[in-house]
Amino acid sequence: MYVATFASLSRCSVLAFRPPAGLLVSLRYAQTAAAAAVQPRIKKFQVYRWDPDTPGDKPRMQTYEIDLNLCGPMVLDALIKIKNEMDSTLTFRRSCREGICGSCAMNINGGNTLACLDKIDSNLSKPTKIYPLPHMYVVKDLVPDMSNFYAQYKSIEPYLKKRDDSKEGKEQYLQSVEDRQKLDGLYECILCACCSTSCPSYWWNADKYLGPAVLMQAYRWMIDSRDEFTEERLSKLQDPFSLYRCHTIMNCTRTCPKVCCGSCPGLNPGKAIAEIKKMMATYKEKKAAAV
Amino acid sequence: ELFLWMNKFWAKNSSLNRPMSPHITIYKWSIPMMMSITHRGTGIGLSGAISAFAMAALILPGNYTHYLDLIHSLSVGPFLIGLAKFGIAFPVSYHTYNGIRHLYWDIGKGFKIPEVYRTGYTVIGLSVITSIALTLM
Repeated sequence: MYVATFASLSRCSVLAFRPPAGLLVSLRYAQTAAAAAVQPRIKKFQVYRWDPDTPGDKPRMQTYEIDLNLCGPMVLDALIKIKNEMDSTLTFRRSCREGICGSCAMNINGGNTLACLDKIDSNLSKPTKIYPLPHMYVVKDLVPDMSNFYAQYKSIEPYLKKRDDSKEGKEQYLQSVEDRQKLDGLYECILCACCSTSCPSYWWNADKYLGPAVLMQAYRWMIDSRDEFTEERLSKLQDPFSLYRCHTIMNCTRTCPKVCCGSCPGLNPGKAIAEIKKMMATYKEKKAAAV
Repeated sequence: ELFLWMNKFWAKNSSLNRPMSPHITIYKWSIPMMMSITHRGTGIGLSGAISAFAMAALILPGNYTHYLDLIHSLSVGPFLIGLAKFGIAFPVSYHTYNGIRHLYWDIGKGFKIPEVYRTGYTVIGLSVITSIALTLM
């Protein structure tokens, strides 16, 4: 018969022994502390607040305190906890809680991410600062007016365009494996607007500059082998503002929250825009203008 | 018609007196961001300095050696002279090396974030070394 003991850091152990009869018996005993009291870990959250229904209200920061032992790990968990238990007037967008819908995009500790994917920093000496997406009109608290962003997306015609529509819906439009691979890193965009609202150029020129999110989707349709309007899509960007306000500041790629695990570093709108600029230099301008 | 719609967006938001969410005051600074604005700053500085020098050369009386003697006669210490030299050398070096980094981006290379940092640090390092070398010459 032999005995093995495993002790873990959580102060409970497993004692396993095998008696001659061949049965493996294991006992588990846990060390119980006298008054099993876990110290509360209080974290401060400073949140941007503004109420349109209070006349003359000015934007302000409101501090909430949360015990991290009683809260989920993500910033969105904290916001929901605040809304449920402390202040039901706190207003923010949210839906999937798993980084696929893009609703909870906001500025956390100075960077734009999705609140549902951003782990709360367990350092209790520093507060977590939460702001809405930068340089956007505020509807209420953390909710920005996204309609300009959506209108810009609509303007690039984000759908498949064929010269001859007669075959539409009859058969699949075939695409080689290599051509489909070109769409990797582009189609995954959830239009959360973290990148566009991190771009200083977009801050100063949101009316005329399309921004990284919309431009990356324009590129997604330009290089889709099934789409036949590449040159027209390129010629639409032929003005000083729509594309060319990009000065390669690279805040966009740095802030993209679509990080699935350790190996994927998020999407790269900066690179997509650079590829558009290269295509703009070589496409046949006259042919597109003649259409 | 999209253009008309967008105009209504701006009109609606300003008439509702909605605040603009904070941006430059709250956004976390990073090395690439600072390098980008420094490129713009050194560009404006160099452009302005060259234009000012050209205007001065055109308008001011006396030739180059006259002004060189004037500066010598001011008996400015070597440290301050060195500082002035560095103050000219650094913008020239930085803007040139970062300019090459921009050209590298223009051919579509170096867009992964670790590469942006690597080329960034290289530009900073080369600029400092070149500026010090030029100052000591």
